[in-house]
Amino acid sequence: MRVRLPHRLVLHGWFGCGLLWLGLLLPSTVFALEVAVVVSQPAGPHQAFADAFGRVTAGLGHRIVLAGSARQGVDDRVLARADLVVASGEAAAAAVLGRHRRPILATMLSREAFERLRRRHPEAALSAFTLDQPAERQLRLLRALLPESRRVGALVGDAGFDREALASAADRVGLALTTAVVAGESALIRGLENVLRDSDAFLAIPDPLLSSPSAARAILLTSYRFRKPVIAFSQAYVEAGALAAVYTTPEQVATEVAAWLARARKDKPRLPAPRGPAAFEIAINHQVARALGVRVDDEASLRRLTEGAASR
Amino acid sequence: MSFRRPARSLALGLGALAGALVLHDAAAADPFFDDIPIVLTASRMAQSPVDAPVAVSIIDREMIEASGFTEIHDLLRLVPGFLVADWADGSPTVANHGVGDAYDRRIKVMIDGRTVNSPLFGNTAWQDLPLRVDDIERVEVVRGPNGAAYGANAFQAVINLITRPPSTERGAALMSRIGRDGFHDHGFRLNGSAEGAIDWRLSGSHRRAVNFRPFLNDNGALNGRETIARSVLNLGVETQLNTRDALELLVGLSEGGSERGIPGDLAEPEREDDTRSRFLHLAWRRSFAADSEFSLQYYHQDERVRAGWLNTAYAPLVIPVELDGDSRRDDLELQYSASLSPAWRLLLGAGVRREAARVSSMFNTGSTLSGTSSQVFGSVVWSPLARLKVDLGGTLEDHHYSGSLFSPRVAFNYALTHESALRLSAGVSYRTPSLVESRAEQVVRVGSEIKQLQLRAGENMQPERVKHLEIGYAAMYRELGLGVDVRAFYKRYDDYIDDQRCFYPSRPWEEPGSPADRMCPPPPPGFAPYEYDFHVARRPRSYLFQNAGTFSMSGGEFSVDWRRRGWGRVVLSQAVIDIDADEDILDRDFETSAPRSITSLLLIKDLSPRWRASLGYYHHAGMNWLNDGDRVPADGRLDLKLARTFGPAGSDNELAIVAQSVNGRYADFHEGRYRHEPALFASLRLGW
Repeated sequence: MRVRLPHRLVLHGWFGCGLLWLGLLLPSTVFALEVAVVVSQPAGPHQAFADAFGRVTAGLGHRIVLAGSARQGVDDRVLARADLVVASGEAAAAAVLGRHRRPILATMLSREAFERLRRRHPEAALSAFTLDQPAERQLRLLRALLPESRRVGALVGDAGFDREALASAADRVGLALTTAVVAGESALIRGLENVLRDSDAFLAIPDPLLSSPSAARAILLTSYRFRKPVIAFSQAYVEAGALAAVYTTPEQVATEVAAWLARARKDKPRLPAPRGPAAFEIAINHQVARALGVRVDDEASLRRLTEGAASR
Repeated sequence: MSFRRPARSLALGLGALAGALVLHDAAAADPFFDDIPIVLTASRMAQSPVDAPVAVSIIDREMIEASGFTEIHDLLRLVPGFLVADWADGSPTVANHGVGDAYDRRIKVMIDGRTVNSPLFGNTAWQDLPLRVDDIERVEVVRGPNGAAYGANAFQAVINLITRPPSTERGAALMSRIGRDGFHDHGFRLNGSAEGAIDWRLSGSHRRAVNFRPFLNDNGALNGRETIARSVLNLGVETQLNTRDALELLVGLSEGGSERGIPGDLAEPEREDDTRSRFLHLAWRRSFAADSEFSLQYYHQDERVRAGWLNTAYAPLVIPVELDGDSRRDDLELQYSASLSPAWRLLLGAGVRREAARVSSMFNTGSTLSGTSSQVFGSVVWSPLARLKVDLGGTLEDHHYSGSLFSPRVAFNYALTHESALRLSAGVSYRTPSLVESRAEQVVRVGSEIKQLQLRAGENMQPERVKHLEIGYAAMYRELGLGVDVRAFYKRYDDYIDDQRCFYPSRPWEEPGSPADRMCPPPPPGFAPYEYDFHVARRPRSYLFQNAGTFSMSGGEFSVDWRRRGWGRVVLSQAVIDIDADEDILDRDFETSAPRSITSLLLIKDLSPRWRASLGYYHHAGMNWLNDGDRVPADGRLDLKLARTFGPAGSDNELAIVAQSVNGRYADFHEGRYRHEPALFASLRLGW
């Protein structure tokens, strides 16, 4: 896809920073790209992404303009002239896709949400930096924490979910996978009981049907009933009672988008292929670890063991 | 436990609140960043024995099912150092390290954080608990005094019965157990809608069992029988209002009759006692983090007993024995816990409790007796080193009879490795006299005359006190599937309360003797014992509660819990106990009230993915049960269970055969009076 470039100018260092700030006051003509940032809501993680994105792109020589939020309305004038729209969250991307035919890089959303957007707007110039961790990364963390584990259970809410890929990821890590398809929360407990009985741990995946707070609560309580640890995908899940999670912060997503932007051609940047996060954090619930008798190694060695997946 | 109420206090569901639920907004759902209710808080999870400041045992669901036990008190046989006995004239009784009698008032028993000990005797009416074994998720047992965390009366142990959260169950289930002698125990469970904001469970059961047949002893005396029938109904409702707040409502009812008495006996003829026990429990919890929350709970419970018969042993005198009674407890408590820093944790709380009882025959008054007590409690856990935890805790109680009592405790926990720790703890705990012990004047009246004076409260009763010290080692080797718990303990008891026989003059005009002659205090007006009417040779007598002396107890325990998937599990425990009574002890049986050794073994063997066999063996050395109890010889009891699951993979359907005491009937509680009968039954569980 082609991106219309008004001018070429690459800015460096403090000088660039100064000019960037100056650029906010001047016409856009001095910048390489005009990048509009739209957030789903001007608060919470999406605002954190926008703030971080502003910081980490400061030296790149692009003009970064906040163009509103899905909740409070987008700035059509900014969007109309943007070379690239970076949308934080599914709602932000959806709000732009319906109104402008600008190249959109969706971030801070699940792969499933991205696929949904793409289905709805097949013609749009759209790509994404999704938040879904590679299953292998989650499973490596599981092995690092529970070296004795042999079998892991997971539930998927959609029969179309690629269970083969999950199973082969488990296989690569040396785990046998037990999965069950659960059509919704009504069948959740029965499905959980089925897989927990035969598993050493439970892998929570960000399936939209099984990720609501009430479903997460049922998963955590039932897993604890079976004394099986849960490996999850968000910090909130760990605070709520999962043993551990790998997750990517808004700041890390912003840094990855900025890194791509820095490498992209300034005249004809092409939207990257959809990708998951490279950077990640590990969260551990030490209270749960103690209650389940799980020994937690130091963070550095956990990270090293978990990173094994990414290096493959 | 560092947490006072390891109850899974959560969520009550009230229809009016349901509309306010905002848990799931599908349109805006963001699995990566949405907040999730903090469900596994420290109070909701069982504390690892490796971390606990005191000795803790956990009986989990697998052990409960494999044991084949269908009654709650029997589960305590699985705890190191515990003994369980039953007798025909009242509730079964549980003792930790001996010193047990018919009223197990020194062990605090809670269901989901609600104390269920009777306000009357302080004991637990095990068979009247409005709770089914099938609804219990796990039992957490603090195997020693812990007044610092649980207040007065956590004197020999604390038993927490924790029910399964309704949000972790779905559908419906039917359970049926049918066995010899007309034994049956039929139950159901029904769980609320999954998509609803309110999780609920309704469960109920009806049970009938012949516990004791009339036993003819070597002296030709026939002893009492007992057949009990109970219906239990329970409703648990919980709702998560938002990511922080949860409410819970629990209500329950147990009702039934007990056929007791001795066939053909004039003094204790056959009869049926009726009992009813109800409760209402409300709790609100706000979670701030896994180790920080605030909770507020209120509960009400009441018990009703209707029992009586006519004693015609002294014809033509007809002595109506009447044991009707009503008692209730209302309790309000709040608790807050927080992490002040990585090295400091804090727990604070306060509560107020009112107990009331009306038992005309027990208190010689038709009016209701009551008392209100309050308490504040707290603990601080300090980790000066990564491996060391210092746990300082205490409860200050203002008791309606005993006044102010402070129970402190200090515990050191040193982690040897990630999986094992050494523990040293010491403290002082109290038990306050129950309403019966402090106020009893149990009368049998004929018209305006008191024909018998049975239990009588002593003057100025002091609370029992125990100073306790223990050193322990606990390990949980997850990779080996092995848990180990070893400890040595020393306990020093003062002012132990016991009822001792005392006498009145043989003739009304005789001068009362001195207390040294074990004379009773002066009787109340209207005392005209039948001994005087019939010129019975023996002197009229009562049983007088009094502080009965000091003694010390020492011993050790170990337990091993090993499991391997596909093979099964072994839980073995052994306790040795020695009681050393001082000269001032009034009853020398105290020294033999604990067996020298107690062994418990639960062996679970997976025969195939569908078949599982289990064996329970519970043995104790010879010992004496106190008061209504007596000597029982060394004996072991062997239980077997064979179970097969069936139906779709993962379903809960099970067909099983259970044989209890397969090695024959054994002397229980009193060798001369009671024989525990073997039992054989089949059980079927179906789930949808």
